Amino acid sequence: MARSRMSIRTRLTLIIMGVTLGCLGLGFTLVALRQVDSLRDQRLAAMSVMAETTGDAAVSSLSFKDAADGHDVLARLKTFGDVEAAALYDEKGELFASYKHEGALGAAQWPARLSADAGVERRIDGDAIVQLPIVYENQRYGTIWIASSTDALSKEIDSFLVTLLTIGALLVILSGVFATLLGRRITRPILSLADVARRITKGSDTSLRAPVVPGPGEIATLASGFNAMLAKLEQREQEVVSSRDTIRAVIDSSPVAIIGIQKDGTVGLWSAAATALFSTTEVDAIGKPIAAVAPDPAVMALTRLWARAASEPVGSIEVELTDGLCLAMQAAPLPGGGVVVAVADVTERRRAAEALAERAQQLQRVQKMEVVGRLAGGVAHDFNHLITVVMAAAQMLQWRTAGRGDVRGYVDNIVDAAQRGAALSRRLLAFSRQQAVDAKAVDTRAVL
Amino acid sequence: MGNLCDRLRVLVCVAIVAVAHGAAYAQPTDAEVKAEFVERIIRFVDWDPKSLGDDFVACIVGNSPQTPFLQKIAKVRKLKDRRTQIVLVAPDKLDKLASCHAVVIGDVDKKQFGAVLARTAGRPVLTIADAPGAAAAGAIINFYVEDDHVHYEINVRAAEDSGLVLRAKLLRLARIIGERERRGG
Repeated sequence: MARSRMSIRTRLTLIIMGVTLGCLGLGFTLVALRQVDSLRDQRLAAMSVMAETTGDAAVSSLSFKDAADGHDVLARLKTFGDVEAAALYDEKGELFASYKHEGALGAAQWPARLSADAGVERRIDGDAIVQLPIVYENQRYGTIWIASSTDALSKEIDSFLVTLLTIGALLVILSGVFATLLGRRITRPILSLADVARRITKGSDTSLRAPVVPGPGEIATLASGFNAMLAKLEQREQEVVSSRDTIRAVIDSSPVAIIGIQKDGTVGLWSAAATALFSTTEVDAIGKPIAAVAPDPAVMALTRLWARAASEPVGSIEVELTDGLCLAMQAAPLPGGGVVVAVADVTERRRAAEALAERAQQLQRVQKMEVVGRLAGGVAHDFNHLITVVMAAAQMLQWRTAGRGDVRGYVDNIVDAAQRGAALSRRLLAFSRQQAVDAKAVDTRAVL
Repeated sequence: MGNLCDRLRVLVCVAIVAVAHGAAYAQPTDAEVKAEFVERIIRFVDWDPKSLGDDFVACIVGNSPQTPFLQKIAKVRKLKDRRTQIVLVAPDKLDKLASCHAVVIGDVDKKQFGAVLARTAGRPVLTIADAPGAAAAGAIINFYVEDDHVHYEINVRAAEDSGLVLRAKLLRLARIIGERERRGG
């Protein structure tokens, strides 16, 4: 987790330092091992030269069995302070002459004898030991054995290692500085890109561009790509702004109030019609809870729509406010949550609809009365014909039965009834407007 | 009787072992050492290749105790990378010296010694003597014994006259004769 929190620059610096230190460590270890081996080899090589020279000088001694001279030859080695002991062996391997440095503290002790064909031997085993056959013109004369202290060699190796460690420490410091500088150099363009991105995010100014380092490097490619992306983003934003302005103009020009309610219940969109409808400016409405910007019944309706928007794709509702204002609301869910609600003032439309319904009912009643009138007219007309026949027949009977008291009463009743039927027929015809109404004042109380 | 025989056997065995042991660790005689020195000295002397043939001829004039040892050496070693031929030359028949590359002067009188030197003078012949004052008298190499050790002296003037080249390794252990005179002359 700590690693993931590290910045790219820190990671890069650590990686560069790690790689550098690893390479330095490996290189220095190899150099140290090689140099130590080289110093040991050099020491043995120098001793070999010394042994060859001394052996060559001892050829005469060995050849003519002059042990004293052999001692003298070996004694010359005292000029080399680190030679602790030396010995000459004749061609049979017998000890011929020997030398021990005065005050030599080492435990070097020459072998009592060697084999006649003792070969080359070079080793560092506490002391540096070199053993060489003494050969002159392909003729072997014996063997020389030299032991030397390794104190000087150890000091030389120690000195070398101290120098190496000092150089290593300096290189570590330099590698740290180098890694830091290199890390900065590498990450500067990236951080510059990040800075541009941050400024764009903060200020929404997509006209900003990252500085492009000329050249074919990856950073230049990245910066170019980033700038191309910014150009595209700027174009898109301009398109979005243009589109938004267009939509805004459409929204504001709409007589229907359009209100956007965000997922958290606050107002995100407030059209000019909404301002006019609820007497709340867009500035006062945006960001406020819907309850704070709309009258209570509207709020309840809007809240209901907002709540239903999550489960229903479209919802609509009409609400009548206390002041008689009637609002029709239709909601549609927004992609990111929340709803957009179109609120229309339908008060006038509602009143007009109600008046229209009243008229329709009146018309229906008139039409019904007209039908009834027509029916009554038809019936009255036919009835009138019947009454006319009855009246004619009754009058004829009156003539014929004049003087007959036993049937005159019946005939008179028929005539009277026919006259009342004719009067009823006339009234029905008047109702159906097929006959002029003979309007006259009546005493309603007498009628009732 | 049987007991006596056993004792004799033991004594004989002890005697044999003692003699063998003594032989094995016996110190080499001066003659043997000098013979060996002759071979070594020849190693450190250079002849003109034209003067050397297929064999290296070492002549011994007169009787010399080194003769058997030199013959023994000649059988097993080469001298100057050549087969070694030992030629015994009688003091009165010095003609044989013409083919010699080295001459070991044995028991000869003064006159014969001079004759040998006369025969070899100015020629690439290494003359090796074993008599006091022989080097001063003209022999190139002369043995002498000092502190029970065999040493040699070199008449460098005679060596130069012979045209032989004596290496420093040979000169280093030698007592030099004739150098002062040569340098002075």
